[in-house]
Amino acid sequence: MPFAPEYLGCSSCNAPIPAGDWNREHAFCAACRAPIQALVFPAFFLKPGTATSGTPVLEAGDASCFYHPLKRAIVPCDHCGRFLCGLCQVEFLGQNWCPRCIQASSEKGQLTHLGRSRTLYDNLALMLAIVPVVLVFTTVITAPITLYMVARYWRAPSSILPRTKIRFYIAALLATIQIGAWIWLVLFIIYRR
Amino acid sequence: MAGLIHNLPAMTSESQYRRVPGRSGLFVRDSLWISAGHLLSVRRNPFSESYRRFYFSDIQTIVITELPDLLSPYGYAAAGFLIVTAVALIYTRYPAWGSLCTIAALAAFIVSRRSADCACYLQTSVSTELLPSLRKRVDAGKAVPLLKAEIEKVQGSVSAEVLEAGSVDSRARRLAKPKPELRHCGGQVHWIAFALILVWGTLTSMSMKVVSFPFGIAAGVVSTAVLLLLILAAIQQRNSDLALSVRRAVYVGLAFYLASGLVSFVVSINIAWRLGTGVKGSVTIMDNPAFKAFQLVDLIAFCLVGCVGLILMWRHTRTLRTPPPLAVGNGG
Repeated sequence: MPFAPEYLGCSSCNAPIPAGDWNREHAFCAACRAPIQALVFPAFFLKPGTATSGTPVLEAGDASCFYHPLKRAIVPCDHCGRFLCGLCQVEFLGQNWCPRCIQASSEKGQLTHLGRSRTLYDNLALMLAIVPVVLVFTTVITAPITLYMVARYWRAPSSILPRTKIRFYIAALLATIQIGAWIWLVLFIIYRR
Repeated sequence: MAGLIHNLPAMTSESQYRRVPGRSGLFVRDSLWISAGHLLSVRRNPFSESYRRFYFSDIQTIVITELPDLLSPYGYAAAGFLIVTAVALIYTRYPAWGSLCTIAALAAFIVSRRSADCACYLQTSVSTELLPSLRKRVDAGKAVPLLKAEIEKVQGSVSAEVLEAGSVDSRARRLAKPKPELRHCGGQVHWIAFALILVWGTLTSMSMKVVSFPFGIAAGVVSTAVLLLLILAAIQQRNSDLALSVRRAVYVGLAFYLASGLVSFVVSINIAWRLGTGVKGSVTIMDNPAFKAFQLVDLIAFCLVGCVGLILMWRHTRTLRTPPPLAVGNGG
């Protein structure tokens, strides 16, 4: 195993933590005397891996990479079929991808595990159903919008963490009640005359 | 590229996330989740979530540092003070204000309870990230063994000989690396703050002898300035080369200021309670011998803090005083 340990500092004062204190249950920073626990794992001692740059095209008949015409293709992309060199090939989901296909799928939201953020439409719908109640009259507009949001985003990808659709249910229920109340009010005024 | 993201297939399988103990924030919440192959750090806003993934194979170190819990004692004290005030207000038939005070006390209690007492950093080969959800020792104590077990499942544990070799290398690095330098603090704010404490003492003693509106106003202004300057001094002296005794004097001054306000309030309430219906405005309370005695003690203690602070500053500057740099003249 190549040995190239990095600098490991105290989180409080950034003074170096002596290796004798690594992986110890109780230790103190030599500089600020703060109690510390520094857990070190084997990755700390590993050199970062180097990427393959791809081999150049040697013979006239060799297929070249779509993105790097001077590099020899080693594999086609399983999605778009483009030839890829060692630099462009990405093994992902057990398939070979090109960087552009990964980017496109990620932007379309098809690769959920690469997502860096999600909009919580259920929370939005719930807030839209609850907050305007304070102003009463705004519910004329917000209640139908809430129902639209519930219908529109019911199947939209929500949080990647465990989450139920209870907020959507409550939002829909509240919006329905608000719409029902408005209909009742209108009918009440009409029939009273 | 294939080499750099060799661990991608591991994360793409459909996985169930398991909650790691600890969370932070009220409206913007941070939490940690474990899945097969990676640790997910989630920041949840009211209407969105953002994610950061740390793959177990990439995690190099986790450093947990216990921090001094400076804020929470004050928070608990404030909560207690607010509760006492709330009871007093409700008792004196101001239920609305009393309820407000109770809510404020509750808020102070919650804030104190949730204040950070540890910092947990996770290091990979490309970055060092703070894990905001592990800000309490109790949570970190539960979460770190979980993380350690998951990481060691993927990476294995560090052998003794590797640690030993690391020890030698780290010692060499430590010798090569200079200690982080402390920031220089001239201490001008400290001088002014301690001097103003004495000015305030003089003004207060004069206003105790002669009841005068301008004296009272001047004492109030100076008192506010002292508080602001002490806060500024406390901020300035952090990680500075100022003597520890001076820094402590500033903290003592601040603590004393807060304690003085609190005791003043309690004494006033107590006097008002005892006098009952005999209270005719604040002058009655201020003329009370008990309040006068408190004022005197307060004055002496404050002047003592000011004097001690000035002496310590003088000693500090005397030890630091170095000859000015030699002027390089052309005439040689």
